Amino acid sequence: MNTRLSPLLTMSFFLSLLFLFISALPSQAHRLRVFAYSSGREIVVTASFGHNRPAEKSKVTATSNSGTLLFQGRTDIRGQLRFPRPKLAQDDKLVITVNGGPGHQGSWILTPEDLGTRHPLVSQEIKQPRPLKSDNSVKSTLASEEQQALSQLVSDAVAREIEPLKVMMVRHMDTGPSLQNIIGGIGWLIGLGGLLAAWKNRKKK
Amino acid sequence: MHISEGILSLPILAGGGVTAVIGTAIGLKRIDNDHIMETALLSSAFFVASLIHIPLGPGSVHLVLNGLVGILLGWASVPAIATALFLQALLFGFGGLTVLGVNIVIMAAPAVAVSFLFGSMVRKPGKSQLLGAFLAGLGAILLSTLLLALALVGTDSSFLTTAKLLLVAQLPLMLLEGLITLFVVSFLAKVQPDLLQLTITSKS
Repeated sequence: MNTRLSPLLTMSFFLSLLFLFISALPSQAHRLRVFAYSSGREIVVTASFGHNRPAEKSKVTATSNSGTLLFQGRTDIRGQLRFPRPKLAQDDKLVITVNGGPGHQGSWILTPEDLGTRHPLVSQEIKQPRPLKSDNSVKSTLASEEQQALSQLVSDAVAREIEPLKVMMVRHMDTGPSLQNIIGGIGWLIGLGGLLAAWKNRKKK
Repeated sequence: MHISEGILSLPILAGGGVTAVIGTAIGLKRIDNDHIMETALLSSAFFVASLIHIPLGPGSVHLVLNGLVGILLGWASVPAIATALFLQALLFGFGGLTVLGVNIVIMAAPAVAVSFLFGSMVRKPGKSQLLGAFLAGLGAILLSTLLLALALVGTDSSFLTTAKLLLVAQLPLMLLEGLITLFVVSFLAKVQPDLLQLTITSKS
């Protein structure tokens, strides 16, 4: 029986494939994308299924590296959740896991560098306040408290200023499959088919 | 349809992996030399179709096309779907490599099942062909949803309620896949009816 593909069918097939991947470009259905970042005294979590498809009311858990549950909550209708930064050991990571419904789960790990808990300048600044010229201990304590308050104020102000940049980065990362990957995948499948055909024909000979 | 990493228990992952390997081996053995390129093309269609969103009501659904691949390829649909899912996991991060076996079973087992259930209907020209195509498209999604629910329920019984909801949520997709399979089969019956006989020629 002749099952060779007719030119008309082959052309229709490739045109359909072209249409399919053009329409596929702005979408991503299967992967729950989770992003998290530290913003001042808060952790911000964003979960989505791709462009403009927020993972609403999804369960979010924040655990330490060892698995201790530190926070639990749900995303809002924008797929976002903000919660106070939990206290962590200096080298501990914060693991954010989002459950977006049956079969959909994603996670994001915030390292000590992301959280700023191992930032050399910050830790030095907070842990070792500059010695004051005066020996008065009350003055010294007040200065230290002022310094900490000032540090917090600066930190909050910087967090507020760079928050839009972080949001922009999250949006930039929240892209679907690239054209290169889609074409590459099709190329792989056709190529593997060719390899299988060559291997089976060699076995026949 | 793709289950993410870190959800299923080890026995289910292992069971899915073993079943997928056996199914893929049977499928590879059944592929006829003359039909390898058709298999690769249908695998590409499955690979791309899974990326497409179709707006439906307040949400959207995405195509699977395992019913179409199943009735055209029979057992060969297992390696076709397996390779496409592997590349989806690798290139797009859909599902994952540890859960790949379960995802293959969820999407390829119904493809093989509908080829046995509705294959003879699709191969006969006439109204039964169109009915068979519609049922194959619909049935493959129904079976996939049942397998997905089964995998989730087997892991954690609290998923039972969600699994029931999943069946209701997939109803529009079942109808849509049925219609798409019907249109593709009617198109193939006009321009290349031999393609509908692939599963028979592959067995011989």
